[in-house]
Amino acid sequence: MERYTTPPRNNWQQAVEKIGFGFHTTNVPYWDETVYYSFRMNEIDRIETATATLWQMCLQAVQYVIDKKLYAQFQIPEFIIPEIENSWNEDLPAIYGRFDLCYKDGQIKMLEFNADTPTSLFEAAVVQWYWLQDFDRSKDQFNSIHEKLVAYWAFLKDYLYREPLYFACVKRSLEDLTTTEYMRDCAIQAGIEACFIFVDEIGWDTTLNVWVDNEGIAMKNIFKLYPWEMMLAEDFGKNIPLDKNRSLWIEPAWKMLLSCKAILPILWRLFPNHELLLEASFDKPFYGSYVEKPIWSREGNNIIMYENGQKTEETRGEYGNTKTIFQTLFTLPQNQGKYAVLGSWIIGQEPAGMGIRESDSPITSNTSRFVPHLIEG
Amino acid sequence: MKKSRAISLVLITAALASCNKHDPENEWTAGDRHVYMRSDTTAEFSPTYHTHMWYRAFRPIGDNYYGMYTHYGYYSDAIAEHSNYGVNYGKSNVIRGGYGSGHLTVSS
Repeated sequence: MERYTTPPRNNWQQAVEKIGFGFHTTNVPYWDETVYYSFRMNEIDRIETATATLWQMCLQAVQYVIDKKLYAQFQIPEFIIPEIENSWNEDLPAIYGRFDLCYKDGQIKMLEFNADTPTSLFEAAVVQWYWLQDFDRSKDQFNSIHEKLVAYWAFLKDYLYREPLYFACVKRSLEDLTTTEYMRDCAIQAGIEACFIFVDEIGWDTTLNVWVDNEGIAMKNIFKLYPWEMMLAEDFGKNIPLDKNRSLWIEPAWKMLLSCKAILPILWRLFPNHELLLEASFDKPFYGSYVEKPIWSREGNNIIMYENGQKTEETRGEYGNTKTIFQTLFTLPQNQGKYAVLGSWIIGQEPAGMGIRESDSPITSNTSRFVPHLIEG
Repeated sequence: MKKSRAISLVLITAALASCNKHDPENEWTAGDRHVYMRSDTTAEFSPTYHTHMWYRAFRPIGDNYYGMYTHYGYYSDAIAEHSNYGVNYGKSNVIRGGYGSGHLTVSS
């Protein structure tokens, strides 16, 4: 993995906006094509294999959590447990996830798994692909995300109710809207009738006990870019078990086990000393270098980094009162003062591609930049 | 080859990009002519404010009760909440807003 700087395309803003990428710059640049990372094919093969292996390990971990009923360690409310178990046992539709990986000194380590509402999907699938078309279309890229999304929606079509599939996200976030609309785009290309609704417009029919859209029509298939832990904490959460239609939520409820960082100590317990894992526990280590992470947190919020027992980095956020886990420190690779984390995608059951986020600090946050990559040779 | 052979998008994604142009709140000035509107004939009138989410025009709202559809009016995020939902009896069996409170993004 090599880092290169390069002049951006002259018209790069127009180029990315033309394909629907409107949040390339906020208060700080988000899309950064002055930098790219280059990989050899054997490195990509290793990342791909690692992603497939981690996915299988995660599935085993879910089965373990359900068998042992370890829900308390995930702070999951009791009322949703039947939904979790049902969605797992019936293998209800699920489509994607993104492993955050640290690739350094020839080693690949899983940092966490964004299994419920992973973002940067559009950037990874579409924006960096178009960048490569302009930069050097003869080069390859670890990125068949778009093809696999369309193909997997086509596969899932038979497992949905024979009714429209609604796509929902929060208002006032162009990033979330773009990700959701991109997913809807892929579903439409797969032949699915797909509608859009904002999550706060979703209605609950108190007479029929069903979810309804703006016109009062029952919604039975719902893709939501909205995390399960937020759904459960809000007013409508307790309605989920009451739903007479047993609507399909995508991602399904069992995915919240994997998106919770409590899965990291579970994985270490099941696969101790596995080369792709970092040691993790629910208890604070007595010594050494480690990272303390809230089990439910996003965008690098409330992370504390310790080196030799001393606090060296800390981020703020809204998850300060959340239960935490402890993971052995494995600092991101640094190049010219920049730290890079790999986001490796699973679509359906297969590794599908990769995106890279680059930061000025060792903790990846919402100010980290998305940078493209290519494969040499 | 590890990359997609071709990528085509069917939605109007360019319109998404146009959403990021400027802050509409700054357009509201004292000298502007205000437009007063309501989306539901049983609701109160309210001043609008500018919004630029491209498909956030009026959306129909109604009720599909036991297969009988009744159209009540339109919903728009561009006007105040109390102007969207009136006192129409038929709508009282549906509650909204139970999801999405307070979260501006769910990026992870």
